[in-house]
Amino acid sequence: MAANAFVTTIREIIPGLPLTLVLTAVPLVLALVPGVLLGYLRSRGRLAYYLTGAYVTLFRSLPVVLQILFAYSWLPSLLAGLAAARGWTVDVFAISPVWYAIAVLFFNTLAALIEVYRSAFSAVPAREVEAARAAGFAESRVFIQVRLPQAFMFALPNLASATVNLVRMSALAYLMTVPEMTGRARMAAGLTFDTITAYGVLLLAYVALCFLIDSAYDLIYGRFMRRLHGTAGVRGLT
Amino acid sequence: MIRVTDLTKMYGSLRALDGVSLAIEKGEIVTVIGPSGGGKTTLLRMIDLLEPADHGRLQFDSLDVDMHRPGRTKKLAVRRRIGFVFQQFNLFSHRTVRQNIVDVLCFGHGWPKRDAEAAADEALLDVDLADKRDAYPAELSGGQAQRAAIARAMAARPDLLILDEPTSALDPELTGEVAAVIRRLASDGMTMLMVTHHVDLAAELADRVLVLADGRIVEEGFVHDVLDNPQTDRTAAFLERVRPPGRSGL
Amino acid sequence: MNYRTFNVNEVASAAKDLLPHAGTSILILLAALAGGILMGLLLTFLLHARSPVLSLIARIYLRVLRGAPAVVLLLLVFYGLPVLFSLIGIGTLTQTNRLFAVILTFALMASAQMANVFTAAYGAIPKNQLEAAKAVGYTVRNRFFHVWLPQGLRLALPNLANTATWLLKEGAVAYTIGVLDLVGHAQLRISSQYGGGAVETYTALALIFFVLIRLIEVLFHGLERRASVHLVKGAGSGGR
Ligand SMILES: Nc1ncnc2c1ncn2[C@@H]1O[C@H](COP(=O)(O)OP(=O)(O)O)[C@@H](O)[C@H]1O
Ligand SMILES: [Mg+2]
Repeated sequence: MAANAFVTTIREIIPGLPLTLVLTAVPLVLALVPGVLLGYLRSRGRLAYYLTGAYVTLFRSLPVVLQILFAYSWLPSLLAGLAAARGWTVDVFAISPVWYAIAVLFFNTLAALIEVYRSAFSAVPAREVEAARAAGFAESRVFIQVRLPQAFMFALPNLASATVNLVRMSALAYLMTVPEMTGRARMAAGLTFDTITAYGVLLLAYVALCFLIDSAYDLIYGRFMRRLHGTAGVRGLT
Repeated sequence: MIRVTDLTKMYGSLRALDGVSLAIEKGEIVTVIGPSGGGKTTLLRMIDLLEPADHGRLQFDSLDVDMHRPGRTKKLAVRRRIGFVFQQFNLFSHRTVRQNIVDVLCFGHGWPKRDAEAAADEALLDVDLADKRDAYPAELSGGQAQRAAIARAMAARPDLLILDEPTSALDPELTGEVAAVIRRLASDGMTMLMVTHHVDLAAELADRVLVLADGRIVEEGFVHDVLDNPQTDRTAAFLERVRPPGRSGL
Repeated sequence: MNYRTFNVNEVASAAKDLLPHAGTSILILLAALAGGILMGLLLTFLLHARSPVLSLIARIYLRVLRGAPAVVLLLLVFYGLPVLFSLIGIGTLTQTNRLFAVILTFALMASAQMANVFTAAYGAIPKNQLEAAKAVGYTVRNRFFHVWLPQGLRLALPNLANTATWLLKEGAVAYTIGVLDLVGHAQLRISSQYGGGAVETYTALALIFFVLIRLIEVLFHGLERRASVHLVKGAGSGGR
């Protein structure tokens, strides 16, 4: 019985994995460039600091669940209104909930990445920037050759955390009926009536996925250890 | 070759530099000494146009620059003619020693990569660091890092080398190797403007000494005149503090 | 779904309906935070224990918690608890049990955060202080209560504020197992109006969360200031 439920659960969850990966990768990739640029601006200009700060605070203060409920009750009618006003012929209510989920996850990830890169750019030593200027680098070169590569390196541990948090956030997409891993595990629970096995396996799937992500980041980070500390191969559990 | 006229820099209400004028001839070595907070670093940074001055004029051969508003083109032109060696080395920590030099030549001076690499290897030979070319700055001793920084500053053959206390961040036993490199540059006829508390080195190399205190040049002259026979009490007191006991110049 | 105009009065009325239920959300937050701090301390000890088995267990626990989505952990605890309870012969599912499942879930989540916070704080305490305390003859217990704990807590306070706001946010998933906290009542209100006023109700809810989170930040900021004043004085008067 239990073994049977176990197999059924795994069979049900695995087809949800690609969607979970999409819900992680797409918002992350979309948010990366604006996150780096806005994080840089936030670390520099006063106006940019406050504007991006307001954005970050807004998303840090609203539970993701609430954003999802919002998006689901408000966005479709807003879009439909817009479509009607502009005479578009799209059926707004036929838009896949996956897009709504990606939108919500994107806005939250962007807020996280702005903070990650703000602190990474702030950690770039001012004296190395000055050395580049003294050597005749144009400001754009200072950014590309000195600030950006160093910020990239400093950001890695926090970027790993932001990615893991994104995976965890993506579980909430089931509330929008997106059949990613959590949504599929609920179906499995309905089939087998063995909720503990269903959610136990689901939890392990997320933990394994996050472990793989952390390991990948650790591998990349390990390559920078010599630059940061001068000795090769120091690595720790995140 | 280079002339600074009436340079003034304010930080808030603090007069970091107060109407400083100086001139350096080609091949000349000028050292700047003076109490901490006297404005020495600020003077060097202003000459390299690293920050706008409140007032001042810089003439560098045929270039004539308003130090308050230098404009992008002149700013880059001046910086490219000057090599700058910092107290804390300021090597790019994410680049190897060799890449540090190549980057400066490629991105600061627009050299092709191949030429830059050849010049970098040559510059590293000059400072006896060929074996450390693939090390990262975090893997170097202070003396090695400062020699790498000098190689980086010299790789593009600047007209003027500026050094800001190049030995004061080093352990005493490491100052010798850096001093040796500077000595060699001097014997090659390099034009230099150097801040140092290393009075022996100043006495040995410099043609002239400027004493900077409270943002003003309080004393200026040939090296032995200033060091052995200071004209103001401040200079005498300052020399008393930095000079190793039992010695008087060279 | 039909679209209609946004009604500001409806937001005010929704806020009035929802505010009395903030208590449940705050109760969950405080209980989970307290549980998380205690479990986090325990975890920190396990993590730094001499026994490699204990520290391995603690590290695996942290690994699991790092990858666990709040909803998934909540569902597992919610369905797992009654089984655990029936094994030791305690009753079945009630609203109280739901609340307990939520608190336990978020205490678990907070414990992992707190263990990281405490470990960082532990690393930031000057080692010579602990050595000095040892040299003066402090017992292990005294060292813990008089040196380690007060400093660790002070160093952990800024992160504690982050953990608290994070818990309040993550706690919003509690309604998915039928707990009637702020979000749960918002859902009730909307369904009692047959889906009417959804946008207004959620707006009111968003405002309430925004204010609560600001309040937590202000509160912890005050605590932080008081803690540093107290500790500076304490350091001056010497150890007892
Ligand atoms: N970026 C800055 N902002 C404010 N004050 C500065 C700055 N740089 C230097 N100063 C002030 O200018 C004065 C001269 O500094 P500096 O040129 O570094 O002196 P020195 O190199 O002779 O020790 C000091 O009082 C210092 O505090
Ligand atoms: Mg200085």
